[in-house]
Amino acid sequence: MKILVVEDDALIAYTLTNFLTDQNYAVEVANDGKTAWDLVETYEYDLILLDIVLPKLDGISLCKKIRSSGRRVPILLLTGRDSSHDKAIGLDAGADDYVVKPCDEEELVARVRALLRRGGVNSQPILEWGSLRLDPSSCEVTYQQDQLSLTPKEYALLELLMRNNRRVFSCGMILDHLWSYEDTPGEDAVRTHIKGLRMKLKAAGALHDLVETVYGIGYRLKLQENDHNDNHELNHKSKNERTIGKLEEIWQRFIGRIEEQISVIEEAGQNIAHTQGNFNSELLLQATREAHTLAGSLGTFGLPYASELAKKIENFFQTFANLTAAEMINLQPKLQTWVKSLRQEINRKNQQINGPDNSQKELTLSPRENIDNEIAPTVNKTKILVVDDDLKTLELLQVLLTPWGLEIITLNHPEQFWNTWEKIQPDMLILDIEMPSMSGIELCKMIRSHDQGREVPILFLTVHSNVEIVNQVFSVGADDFVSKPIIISELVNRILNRLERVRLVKIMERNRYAKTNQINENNKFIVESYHNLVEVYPEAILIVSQDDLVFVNSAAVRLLGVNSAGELLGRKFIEFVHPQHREEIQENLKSLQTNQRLIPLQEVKFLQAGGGIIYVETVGAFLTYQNQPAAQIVARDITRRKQTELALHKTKNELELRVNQRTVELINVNHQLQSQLDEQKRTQDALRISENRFEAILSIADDAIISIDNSQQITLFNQGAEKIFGYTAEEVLGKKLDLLLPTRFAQEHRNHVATFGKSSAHARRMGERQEIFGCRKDGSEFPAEASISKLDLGRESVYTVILRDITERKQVEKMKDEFVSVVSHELRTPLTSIHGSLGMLTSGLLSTTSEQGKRLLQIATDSTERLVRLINDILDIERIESGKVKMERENCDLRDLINSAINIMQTLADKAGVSLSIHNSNSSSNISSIQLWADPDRIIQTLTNLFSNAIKFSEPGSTVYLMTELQKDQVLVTVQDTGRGIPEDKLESIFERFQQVDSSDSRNHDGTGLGLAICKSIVQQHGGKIWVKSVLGEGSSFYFTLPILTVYDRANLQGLVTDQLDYETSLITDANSPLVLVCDDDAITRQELENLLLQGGYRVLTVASGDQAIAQAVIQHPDVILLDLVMPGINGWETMAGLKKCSDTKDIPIVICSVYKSSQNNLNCQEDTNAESVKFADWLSKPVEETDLLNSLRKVVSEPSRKLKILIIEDDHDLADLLATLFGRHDIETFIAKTGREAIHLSQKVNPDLLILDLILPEADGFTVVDWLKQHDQLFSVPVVVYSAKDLDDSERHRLKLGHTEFFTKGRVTTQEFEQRVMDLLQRITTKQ
Amino acid sequence: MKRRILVVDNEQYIQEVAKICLETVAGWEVLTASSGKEGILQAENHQPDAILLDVMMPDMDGLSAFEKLQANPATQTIPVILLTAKIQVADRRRYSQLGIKSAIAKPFNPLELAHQVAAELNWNLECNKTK
Repeated sequence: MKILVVEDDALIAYTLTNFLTDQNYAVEVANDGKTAWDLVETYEYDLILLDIVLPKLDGISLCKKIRSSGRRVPILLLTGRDSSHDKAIGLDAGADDYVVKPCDEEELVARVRALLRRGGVNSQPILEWGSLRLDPSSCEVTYQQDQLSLTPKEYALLELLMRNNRRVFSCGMILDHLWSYEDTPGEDAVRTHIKGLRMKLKAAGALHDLVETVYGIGYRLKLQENDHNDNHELNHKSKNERTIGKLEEIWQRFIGRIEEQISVIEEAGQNIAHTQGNFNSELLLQATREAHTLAGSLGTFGLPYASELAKKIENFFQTFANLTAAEMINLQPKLQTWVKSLRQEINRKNQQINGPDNSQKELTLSPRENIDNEIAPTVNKTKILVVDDDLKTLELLQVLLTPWGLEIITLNHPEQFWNTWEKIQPDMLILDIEMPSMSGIELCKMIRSHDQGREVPILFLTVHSNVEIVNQVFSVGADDFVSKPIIISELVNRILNRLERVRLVKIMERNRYAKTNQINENNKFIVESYHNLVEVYPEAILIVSQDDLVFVNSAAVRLLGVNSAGELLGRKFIEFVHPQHREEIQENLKSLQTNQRLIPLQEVKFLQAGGGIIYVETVGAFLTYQNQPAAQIVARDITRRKQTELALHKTKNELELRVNQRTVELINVNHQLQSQLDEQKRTQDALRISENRFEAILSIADDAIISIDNSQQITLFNQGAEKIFGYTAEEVLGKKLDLLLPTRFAQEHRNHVATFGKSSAHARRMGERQEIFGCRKDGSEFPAEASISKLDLGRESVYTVILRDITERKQVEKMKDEFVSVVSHELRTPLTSIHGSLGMLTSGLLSTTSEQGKRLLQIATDSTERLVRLINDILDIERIESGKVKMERENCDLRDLINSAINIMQTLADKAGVSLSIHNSNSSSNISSIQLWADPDRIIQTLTNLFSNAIKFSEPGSTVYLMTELQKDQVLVTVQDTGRGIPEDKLESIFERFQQVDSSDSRNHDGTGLGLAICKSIVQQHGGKIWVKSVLGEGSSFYFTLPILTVYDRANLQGLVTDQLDYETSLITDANSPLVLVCDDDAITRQELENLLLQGGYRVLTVASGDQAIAQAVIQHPDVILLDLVMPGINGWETMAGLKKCSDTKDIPIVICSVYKSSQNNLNCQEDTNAESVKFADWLSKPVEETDLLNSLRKVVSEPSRKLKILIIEDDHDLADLLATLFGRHDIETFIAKTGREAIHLSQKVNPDLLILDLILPEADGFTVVDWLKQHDQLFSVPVVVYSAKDLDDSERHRLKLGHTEFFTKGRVTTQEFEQRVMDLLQRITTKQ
Repeated sequence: MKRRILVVDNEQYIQEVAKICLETVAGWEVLTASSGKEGILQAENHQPDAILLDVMMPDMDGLSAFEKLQANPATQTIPVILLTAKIQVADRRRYSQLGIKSAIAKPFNPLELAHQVAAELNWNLECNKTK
């Protein structure tokens, strides 16, 4: 079903379209009345939805127009107007219904359906066709209660067929009804849908051809119900029968006429036969006409042969005039034959008709009666006007064609054509050619020349079939040509096809029309749009044609300072261009014309109408305006922009200036900040150094330094504290100080600290009134001495406790107390005797001469002696043990010592009647010489003590033995007696002080009780051991060992060094050490010097005389000669002269060692000798001090070819300066590096001979420096003197070794010693070189 | 009847001097012993009227000897005077704790010794005055 929606509102139209297409209607839209009318004229619609308010042609008028055109299409008015008046008007105009906008979809659709129903055949809403039911309201199709699912088009197709179930629809008609003209597909689409529909129907059980194909024409619904079928069949049959009947009737009616016609022909034939050329031409003409008519009509009545005959006859008559006489005669018999046959045919027909069956005769029909009741009046039937003079043809056609749904209007008289034409307005014309008043051809020509008749399809229906006629027919503009006798199917086909074609043409035309319309519309739209755009465009658009302004938009008007476009149009464009740019613009415009290119964007100055200058940006393009070449120029006012640019530029400059200023400021600020930063850094560095120092101080401190905060939690715990308490710092930090106290003191302590905190004192000794104890990690307690100080930092206070473990001190104190106690007793004892005795004596109660008196004196004397001894021993042992008395060790021979000891003890031994015996256990001979590095006096003391004891406890006549045994690197000395022995439990204790085995024994009176203790002390100081073995009653053996001096040991033992210093040296006495020739007649001197020199790392050669000296000097070539002056044989001077004379030896430096002082002898010698250059390098006066000797040798032996360089690596300014000055005095070049980094840098630069290295440095400590230097190819073996604040353990020392490395601890060595050592090292180095 | 004094001291000379002093000045009979043990024996055997006891002696020191003497009924009652170099306050406290009432310091004044002893023991002394 096709619906036309006429609505100018696009939205409503769209909405309605949607509504309707949902209901499977095909919808077309017209936006105005005119378009709608065009559409209505062209197409058939099943319904029109018409808005009232429309442009071009309003709805009411359109409605009226549609109705007056005779179209009965249902019209549904829809409009916004609701008043009854409007409704009435609408309905009166011919509308079928009226719907008010806004309308409900449901209502609208229902009304549409209602209207369609009314227009349709069935008054029932639901369409039925046999078992097929179609419900339009639900769009459901069922066949025998089975629902069919159809596509929308299939549904629409079925609905169309069912609504018009008698009508045959060609493909084209279907297309028209089901599709809007925009999307009309091809006929294949229709066929496809038909196929689809048929398949579905078949599937539902319907017969295949419910949708029947009527070949050559189209489709329609086939009658399917049995009874219906029968009925229909019957009807169908009867329809055929009826048709035949009708024909018979017509024959009957016209039989007379036909008879007439035949008679005329016969007559004419006779005429020709008889007249022999003189024929009745009029008769001939008439005969021709009749023959013609018969030819056309006989066939239709079922006499085709007769028609042909008639045709032949007609031809004959027609051409008869042109025939020759001979031909005439020839054809005559043929003619007769034909005529006869014709007559026969007709007669036969008559008989047939007038035959038995007469029932048909009674039927009388009016020609125009619509006999077929079942034929439904379809909407918009096609009207065909038939013009023929032959009534029976007319009637024939009417009868035959009407069943096809065509409305046939017949016209017998061609003259009336135009009236009929006006009235009927047929869709098609069927014309006969042979007509009395006017031939069909003429008529056709006339029609075609008429405006209205140009398009109408004209079909010629004629007997004539010769070529000329046909040509004529087509040349006058006929569309088709059908020959009589009429074959109905063919005719109908042709007609329908023609109609189709017309329709198609119409469609195409409409399309074309619409397209053209569309194009025009588009064009109009474009133009309008353009104008709109241009008008509203904010920038000036000017069109210049041949120098004149032909178009300006409103922006241009504004731009150029006028009030209206009129003021501009027609004026020269160039007027408005600033003279500055005129030439340029002209050029541009010209080139635009010639090249038709664009004028690119450029800035120009325009002049306003008032003369004002404006800046514009222009761009131009070529265009054709109103068919003239023109230029379209767009100009943008950039005056403001220009101004802005200027202002911006100015601002920019200003800004730059300010930026520069600011930059300068910032640079200054930056500098300041930088210097502040530097300062800060310096401060930080200082802080760090200070912290380091602090840390160092803390770390070296042996005392515990502990800081606590207000809540007595530990915040600082130095290494000393760690050592003392046994905790690591991490373990205690944050814990309470109580941890370090024995629990019983904790509370009290807390109180004390709190009190202290509140007090104003800054520092206090802790435990002033009582002893305090500390508690170690392992739980052990120890006595401690501590003081606490307070530092107030506003809210917080920091307490620092410095604590010392005084266990040792206490022990020492205890020991001292004990000692004092003991000593006091020991002292008092002899004092008591002395005091008592002398007191008695002086009292006079006893005479000094009396026996008792004498005894008392004796006692007093002895006791005095004892007292003296005691005091000496006590002092001795104290000094020995405290280390105050250094063992003055030297190279000595044990043999000598033993001898000395024996000498001393001999008298005592003799008095006791004890003999002393000495032997060497290694050999039975006398004791051999054993070299010791010992303090001879002390060893002698030891020996005498042991001897003394041995003698004391030996019986008279017994022997005290002394034995020496040389062991691997020590000597074992044994003093053995055969006395009473020592009980086992006292074997150890007798070496303790004041321990005497049996003090009651009078023999002990002499003893002080300290002897063995002293021996022990001495022996231990020498690195030996002492012990005793004894058997009571048999005797005792006292043993002690002393290490022997090996060459190596000799090298190791250096006088000034205490055993806290450790060092390694390479073998000093290697071949590179300088050789010193010592020449002195005195052996002891020689020995002494040798010792000193060996200590100093020199090799020594001693000679006793000047001759030997010279001889040896030549052979050995020593580096220096130490020369005594006073010698037997040749004296020193002479020796010197001798040495100088000899070329080998003259360069050897000589150092005089003489008892004489140098100043005296300088004078003397010069006088004495023979003015030989007796150049001596130095003078040492005996006794030679080691330092002097070594110093002088150093000076003498190697004149340093170059200055020595020492790199002092020390961050402490003062110390570094001190060291530098120190060594500077020795004519040594010193360099100072304050940091590790500097050290590395300087050491590379300077390549020093020696490094003095402090370990704690900023920027890489001493270790790091050494590590680095180890990599250096030269400095890896540089000698180093490590001069550090703290003691180093072995691994640390190992780390610090480069070349020869020595270690000194600040505070443990004096500056002098340090200097000395360093000089020694240097000496050694240089001599090595 | 002559009083008998026992002098116990490991120092020979002191024994002698003390003996001479006491004999000369006080005219007492003086016995000597060289050790604690010996002293106890002497005390037991000879029942002196008083004992002058040194403290610092090897083997048994004076205080131990004193305890022994006290323990021994035979010698309990013999008054003991210490003759010692250890006469600090602490020492004296110790002595009195033990029950020794008196102590005389060394060195002693030879002339005064007898008097001191007599005073301690509440003896009358007929002594030889100095001339």
